[in-house]
Amino acid sequence: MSELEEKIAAWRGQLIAGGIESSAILDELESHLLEEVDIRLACGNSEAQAFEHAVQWMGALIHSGRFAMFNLDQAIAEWRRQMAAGGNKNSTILDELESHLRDDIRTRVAAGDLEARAFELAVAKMGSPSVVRNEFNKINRPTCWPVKIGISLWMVMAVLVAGVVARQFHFGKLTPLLTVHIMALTTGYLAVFLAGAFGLYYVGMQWSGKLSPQLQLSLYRAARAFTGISAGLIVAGLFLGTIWNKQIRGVYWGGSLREIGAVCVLMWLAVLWVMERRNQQNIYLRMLACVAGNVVVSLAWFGVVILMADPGLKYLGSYWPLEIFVAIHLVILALGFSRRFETAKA
Amino acid sequence: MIPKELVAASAEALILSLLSKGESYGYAIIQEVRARSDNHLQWTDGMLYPVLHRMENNGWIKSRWVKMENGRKRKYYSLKKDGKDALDEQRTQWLKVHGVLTQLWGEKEQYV
Repeated sequence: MSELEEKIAAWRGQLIAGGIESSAILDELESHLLEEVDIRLACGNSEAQAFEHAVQWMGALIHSGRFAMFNLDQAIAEWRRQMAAGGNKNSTILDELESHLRDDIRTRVAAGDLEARAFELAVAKMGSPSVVRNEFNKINRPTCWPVKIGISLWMVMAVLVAGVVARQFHFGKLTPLLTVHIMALTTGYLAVFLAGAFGLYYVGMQWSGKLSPQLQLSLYRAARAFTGISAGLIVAGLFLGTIWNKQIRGVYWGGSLREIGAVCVLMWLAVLWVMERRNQQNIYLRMLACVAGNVVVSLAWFGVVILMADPGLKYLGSYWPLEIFVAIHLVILALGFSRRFETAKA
Repeated sequence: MIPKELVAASAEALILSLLSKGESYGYAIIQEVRARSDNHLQWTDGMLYPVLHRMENNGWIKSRWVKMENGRKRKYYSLKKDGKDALDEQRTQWLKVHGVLTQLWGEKEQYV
């Protein structure tokens, strides 16, 4: 054994005594040390000097902790902590990224990298916490202000309805069942109107050429969500209504125009759902259908006054607002569909 | 190397196409794209997952966690019906772009 080999063996012994037990790590350190020795020999140092300087150089590297006692689980836990501190707090996303990181590390280790090195490379390739956060922020774009305003208005209206109905309940004019039934149906109808309002805004922006992809997606998602919410509320309202009917009138289905109107709205929502399932790529048509929902709900809600002059709804006094409302919507729908067919022909 | 703008633009079409062959997970998707493109298409690992999540939000793909033999979990993605429709549309669009470019370059070669 040469003098240099003896020194290296002794140096390895010191590292083992210092806690580095992995032979793979020791081999890599030795390989690195020999490269450092060669560089210094090439610069004209004696073998003893070259070894001494290389060991000093390696000492800094080793004490930096990069190779000493590397623990992958601890390193990944620390990486997760840094990602969370950098704004990536969703644990499900971090689980998925960790799974990816471990796959990458496993592949690199299988290709010959040390675990510590593989971890460093995989983390670098994943991107810094701020880069990952920015990429995820791109998909979690804030909701557009027209949608925010619409949702806020609906919530205010829902609270107002709840307040009015709760007042009636407080004075003993409504039973608990009827109170919830009215609240569910009214907020459900309002939700259909809101989806229709999103549809109108969408169509208007489309015609004016100002519909950005972000606004398009935001309006479509909001309309879809409120169509679902309205369906849930109307089903609940109808269900409670049938129970109330049974308790008061002895039958589940009274056959009044109000009940028929609610069923018509529900059927229209079912049509929207079928369109959603069958007509995946044409958002424009689905938004026009939401506009048509305004007509269905306005007739189901207020149209009963025209059909049977229900004494309970005479507060409207005159029916012209409803007629104008429906007429405007029909014109918009006619224009909307004609433009659609023109585009399809072109 | 393909510029990152083109890589980003083609990401959805590539993911949909790969998932149309069967369910897969993020790391495998990146490896397959890299292998099929001879290393010309390289995604930043952190970029892939937001795209996958956006596609999941759009209702194109669905995901499920699978427990592996070593006890660790891995999230697998698969195509939904909406995703198949989206793939058909994207395929049509990319083929149109490809067709126009091929046509134009064909004309250029004739002039040359």
